[in-house]
Amino acid sequence: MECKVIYFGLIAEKLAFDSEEIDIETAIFDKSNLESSFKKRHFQLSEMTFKTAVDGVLTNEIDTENQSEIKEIAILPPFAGG
Amino acid sequence: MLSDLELKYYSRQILLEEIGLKGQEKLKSAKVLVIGAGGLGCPVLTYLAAAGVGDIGIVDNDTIDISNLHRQILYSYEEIGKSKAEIAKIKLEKLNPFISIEAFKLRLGIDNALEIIKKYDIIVDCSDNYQTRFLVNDAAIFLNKILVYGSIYKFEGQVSVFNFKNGPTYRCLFPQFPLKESLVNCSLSGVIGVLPGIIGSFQANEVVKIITEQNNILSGKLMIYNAKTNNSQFIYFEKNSSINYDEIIKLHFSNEIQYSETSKKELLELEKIMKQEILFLDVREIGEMPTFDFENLLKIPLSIVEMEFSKIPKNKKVIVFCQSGNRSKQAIILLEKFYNFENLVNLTDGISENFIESWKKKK
Repeated sequence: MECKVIYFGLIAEKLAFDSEEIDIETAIFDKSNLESSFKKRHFQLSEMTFKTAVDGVLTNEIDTENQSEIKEIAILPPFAGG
Repeated sequence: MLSDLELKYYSRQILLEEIGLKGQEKLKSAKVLVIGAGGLGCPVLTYLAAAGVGDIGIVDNDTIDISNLHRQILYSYEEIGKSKAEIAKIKLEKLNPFISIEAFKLRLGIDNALEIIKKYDIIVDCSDNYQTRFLVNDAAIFLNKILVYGSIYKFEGQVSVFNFKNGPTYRCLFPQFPLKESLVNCSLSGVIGVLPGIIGSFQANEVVKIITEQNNILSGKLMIYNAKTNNSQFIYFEKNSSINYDEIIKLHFSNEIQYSETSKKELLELEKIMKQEILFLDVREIGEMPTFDFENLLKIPLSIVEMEFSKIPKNKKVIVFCQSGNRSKQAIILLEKFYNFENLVNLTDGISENFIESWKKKK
């Protein structure tokens, strides 16, 4: 049940990598709160603002019934630069 | 009605089936406000002016700096120090003499946002800070304006269209002001010069599509572009019904805002206040004159007051000042509404060296 997680912007910078493969079953302990799960997975994100998207759709939770079909989770921080 | 010269000017895009004469006339009738004439604003303004958007507003209080020139392509070396809004207006009028351009040499704030935005149909957010981005979003909702959003970070950019036909807004994507760790000063983080050109061009394209009533508007979709990899991704999102827009708008734009204020004269005369421990909060930007340095002075520019609000004590009277009393009022409104401050007093007539000297003597 491996899926790719893509990190954007400042978040990728804080982590020093922009993607990783994770096992949804073990890596995401709270499937109803992805933001919280990723904050706990990576301490560098604990004080950061971001949103999560699953297979291109903004959501903070995982549909456990279909979790084996998930291909990608995106971690999206806001950008302010202009 | 387009003149013969205008027909020649726009002939190559009038040829497009999707634009045609009807679309060109729509462009001429359109009123678009561009907030920020920096990295994103320069390409947005250039393409909208060249496309024939008939009425363009430019909001920017900044002046041209040498470090802007690698990406802010409307400006030249010899224009360093001049107003971005004014120079942009001059350049765009030369590019297209058939359109009307108004320059607003000011920083968009709670006190002026509605008045400026209400005159336009489409707002293009090319600002460089979250404070303005949230304000523009909320004002666009309040006035029912379409908001074309673009933002950048180093090699990455985001583009979307908000409040289009009652569609999702910026707060549906990012509901609240980011946590402190997520705030980066753009002037320190760096940006590749071409990126705002690309993202700004996407924004201009969305504006033209909206005006000419084309399909596939980036509403409910966030486009993320990476200039390093040339990858584009789309994130789909819906209107967030849990956001209380009425409350947000009331907080921002209600005329019933109550806050304390005093003048320099009153402050010096108020024996009662003088006996309390007082802190002064300078919300002017770094480098503004005159500069002060004395005991009980805190310096937090308005542009970062929401990031640094935790440094302001809530247990003593804080006299907030700027040059004229306007920005300090704005800072107080923000801090009272969103961060529950009740101890702030606006110095209505701004600060002066004489006042500080008198204050020190009284103490």
